[in-house]
Amino acid sequence: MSLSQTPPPLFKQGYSARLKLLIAAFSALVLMNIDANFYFLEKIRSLVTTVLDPVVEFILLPRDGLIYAYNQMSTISALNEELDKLDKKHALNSEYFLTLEQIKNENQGLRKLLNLQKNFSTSSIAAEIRYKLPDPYSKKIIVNRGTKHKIKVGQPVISADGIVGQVSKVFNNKSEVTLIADANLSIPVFLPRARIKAITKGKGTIDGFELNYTDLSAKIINGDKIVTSGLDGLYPPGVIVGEVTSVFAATPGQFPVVNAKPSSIIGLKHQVLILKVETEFK
Amino acid sequence: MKSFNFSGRVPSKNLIYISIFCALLFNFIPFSKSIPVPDMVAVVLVFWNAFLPAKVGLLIAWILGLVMDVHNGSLLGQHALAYSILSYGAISLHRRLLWYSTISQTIQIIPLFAASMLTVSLIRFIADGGVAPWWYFSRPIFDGLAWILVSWILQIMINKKRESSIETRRVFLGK
Repeated sequence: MSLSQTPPPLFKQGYSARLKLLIAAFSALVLMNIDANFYFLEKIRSLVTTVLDPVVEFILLPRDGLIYAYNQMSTISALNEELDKLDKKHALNSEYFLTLEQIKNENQGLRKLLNLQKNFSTSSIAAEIRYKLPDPYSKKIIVNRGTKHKIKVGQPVISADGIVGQVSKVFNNKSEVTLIADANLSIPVFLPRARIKAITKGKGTIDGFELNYTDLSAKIINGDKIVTSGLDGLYPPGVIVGEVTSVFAATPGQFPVVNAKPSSIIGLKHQVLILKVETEFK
Repeated sequence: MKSFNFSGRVPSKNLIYISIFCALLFNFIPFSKSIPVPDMVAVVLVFWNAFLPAKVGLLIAWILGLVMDVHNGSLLGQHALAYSILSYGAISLHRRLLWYSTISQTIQIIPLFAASMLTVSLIRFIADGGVAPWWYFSRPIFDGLAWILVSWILQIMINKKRESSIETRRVFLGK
């Protein structure tokens, strides 16, 4: 007995449920295949996103309001404390800045001499993390910059703590960033202490990544710093990525299993920087 | 027909649309990633599919799936597939389901959610190597709990609708 008051039609029942399921499942599979391999579904995606955007922002309102209220209520003493801390840090840093300036000038001169291209463009844009995507199969976040701000797919994203990830989809005024913990993102890295190159591979399920194709004989120990090597011409070299958390030595015929954790952990109200690097994507 | 008697109660179209919209809003709330939050859209969809298969069918499920895919940033078609399977299962169950109490319905519905989730996780793994963390696979149980809540609320709404309509009929038709 169903809720409808009239009995179901005897003859005109339309297609059978099984046939409908077959059509629906088949079309869904085709869509998934196209989406995984090609880019032309992005238009539909960005259209639906534009429609959904106001609703999503509306849902986020209470949270943003709470954050705003909390920020307003943080006391003067806490702010003063932070100011003190920053002052000390500034004093410490100013020394470095002086030498940095000197080295920069020197470097520029030398580069000119060598007729080399500039290392990487310093052009970048600040963005704010809006929310994590609820898809449990991937590690992605949404930031509040998009095509309006000339963001392009493939541009690297960094934060004050290190590499965050890479822009994977761009919408009108927001874009999707794939984190380094995502199973589909790899970054060429360099271990300064062991002096070896490697490639990261995100774990996907937890906040961490593995180092693939490391040197078999290299002595990697826990706590080793990992920085970008810049070999891909996309990520600026020397930016911190994370540190090694566990190493399982190589067995014959196998690479060692090196687990690492990223240095920038994504939380709420995290500021990130999108580097405007030329990418292959149009 | 244990707990609720539905005979002669027709939920309005508005109730269907509003309930689906509210479920969408619930799904848009960004939760912390370490709890398997029930997929409210799926639960509400299964409810309408099971109780009103003539009005809410596979097509609505498929379109809602696409909307969820875009919001989730998952592969386009992933939720469409999941909801199609759920919808088909619910439609096949609909002649039996109504005769049970809500708790017994939940026990029959949980395997349906599990089947849909496992299919999707398998296909997702084949498509782009995505793997969900282990705790995510406990989600059908939470979906079942959400089913109890959703069917309780919607049954109240449906019953309320009918009572008031009878009152107005009495007033206007003098019956």
